[in-house]
Amino acid sequence: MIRVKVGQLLRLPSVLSEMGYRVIVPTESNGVTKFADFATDSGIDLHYVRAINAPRDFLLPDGEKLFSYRSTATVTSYGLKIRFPTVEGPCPVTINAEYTAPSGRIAFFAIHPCHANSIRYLDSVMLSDPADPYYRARRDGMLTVVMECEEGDDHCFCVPAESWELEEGYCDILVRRSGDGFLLQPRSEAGKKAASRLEAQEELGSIKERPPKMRTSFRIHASEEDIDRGEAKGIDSCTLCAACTVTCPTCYCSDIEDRFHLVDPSNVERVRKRMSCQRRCYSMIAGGNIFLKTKEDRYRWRLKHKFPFSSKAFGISGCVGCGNCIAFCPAGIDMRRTVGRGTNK
Amino acid sequence: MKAAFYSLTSCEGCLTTLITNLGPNLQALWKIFDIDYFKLVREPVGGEKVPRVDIAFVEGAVVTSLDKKRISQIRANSSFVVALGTCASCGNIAYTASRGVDLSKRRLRDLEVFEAEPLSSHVNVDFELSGCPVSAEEFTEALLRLLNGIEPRQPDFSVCYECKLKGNRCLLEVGKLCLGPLAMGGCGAACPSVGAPCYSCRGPAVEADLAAYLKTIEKHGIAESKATSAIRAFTGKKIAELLKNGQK
Ligand code: SF4
Ligand code: SF4
Ligand code: SF4
Ligand code: SF4
Ligand code: SF4
Repeated sequence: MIRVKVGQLLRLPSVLSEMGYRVIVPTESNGVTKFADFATDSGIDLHYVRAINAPRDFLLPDGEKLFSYRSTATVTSYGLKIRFPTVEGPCPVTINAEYTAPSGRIAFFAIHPCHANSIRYLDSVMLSDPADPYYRARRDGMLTVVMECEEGDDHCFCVPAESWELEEGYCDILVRRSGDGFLLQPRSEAGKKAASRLEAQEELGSIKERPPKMRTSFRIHASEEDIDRGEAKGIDSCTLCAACTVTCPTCYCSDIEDRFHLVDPSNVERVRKRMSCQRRCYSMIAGGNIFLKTKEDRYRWRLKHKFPFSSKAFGISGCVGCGNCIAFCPAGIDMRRTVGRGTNK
Repeated sequence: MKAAFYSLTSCEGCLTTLITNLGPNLQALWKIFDIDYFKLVREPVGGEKVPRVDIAFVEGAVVTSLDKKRISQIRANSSFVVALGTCASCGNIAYTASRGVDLSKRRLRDLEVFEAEPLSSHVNVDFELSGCPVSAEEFTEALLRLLNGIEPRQPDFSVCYECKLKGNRCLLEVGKLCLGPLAMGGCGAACPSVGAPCYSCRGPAVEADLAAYLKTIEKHGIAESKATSAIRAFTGKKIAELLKNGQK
């Protein structure tokens, strides 16, 4: 482990970028902290507690083009004719998908332990059989510089959510604030290599992560029955804005869209767009039937997916306790009131 | 296939936007359709007569006696009628502005003037494409779906959805009145993304919930009265209905 001054820590993004990584850093603008691509003039925010986006937005970017193909669309005087496989029987031609895998390695600088654990959750979803090739290509060779939190804000609950500890593979360099400098603990070969390029003030023993101070303490009880029975306080003021899923670092739902163009109608792009269970079309099936009709249905569904469904399907919880869904909800709806017991909130 | 583009009382901003923003798609449009009526582009083939078409796009609100006559002629001669823009889908600013004033002596040239109404108050409308002005991308998407015999769709989310996806700081948090939670999305949260509140220029979201919205802004210290006057100002009939139902 080494001790460095703040200037050296702030050099790390350029070091990583020289090492060939696409570096993502927390930046502050207009009162929000957002992760963004590193540029030499990036104002890096080392003091943030909460960011509105998450590593997810880079590993599973919204509107990602999956591939393009040529359809049999032709422009006739009767209009544009596209033969859809599902509408008019089997597809008349083989689709030769033109596909380029995303390339390059990504490095996340100064993410928090809950973010690191959100990547661990996304891995268990996206890499389970069959693995998503786009996600895998982005994620392979990833490096994370994890900045420990001393104290959470009013909305953080990573300690009750048991997501402050870092599994192997989810932290290449651990960073701890210490006096007027920082302690850097490399935890992988790649991490060592990056850290060795910084000017250290001194070499020290080693550190392990420790839990941040929490402002609330409670236990999570989130079985399906708990969620069905728990009160959904304040849900009448929910406007279905979907902020709770858009800003959640573990939400991965998506929709697939084929994009046609008027000028060259046979050139079709297939893209993946973000989706949210708070939206109407999420549970809409043929005929226009909606399963999750009310706000309460959608609220409980979100919690069920985060807790019992994820535990059952992937063996880990889908909630890392970052508190974004609470902090960014304009209606102030707090899921700790539904799944937290013995809460002092 | 035949298409036509009509203007009722409006600023003609929607059709102008299509002409300027469709780019190469505008020419493609002419290849796909026989367009006998699109006055902003060229003299109509059959003069002022409303031609028989497969799809009619209509911008503007129904305000004058001529508008009333035209919209019923358009409906009678078109298989599919698309209301283009918020004037046509909601009545827009003219809806509220024309109410509570004495219109009996007003004339627009020699035409009688009435309280502004969206197309749907007079005829059956098959699809509404909101926006002040409409977006060329949404227009193209709707058109491609129509050409393929698939129902076009409206965004099912409010402006907040795209605003949050862009990572904007919420204006409600700083005590500014933003109608985003009530407003139909699809504009890419154009206004809040540059720090200006949304005034719901696309009409209400599919699942707009006024009561929930008023509770939400109260939490941010914004008075209900301030909100209701802003809501009334712009998006016409649908918001007026929402307000009426909300007061029940
Ligand atoms: S963030 Fe809040 S108001 Fe928005 S959909 Fe979620 S619970 Fe509803
Ligand atoms: S559900 Fe809420 S607290 Fe849990 S990870 Fe998502 S945003 Fe964070
Ligand atoms: S179901 Fe809802 S809560 Fe779960 S990942 Fe999808 S959007 Fe997020
Ligand atoms: S600024 Fe307006 S549109 Fe954006 S999230 Fe807040 S209320 Fe919604
Ligand atoms: S943000 Fe609101 S006012 Fe601005 S373009 Fe979108 S719907 Fe219209």
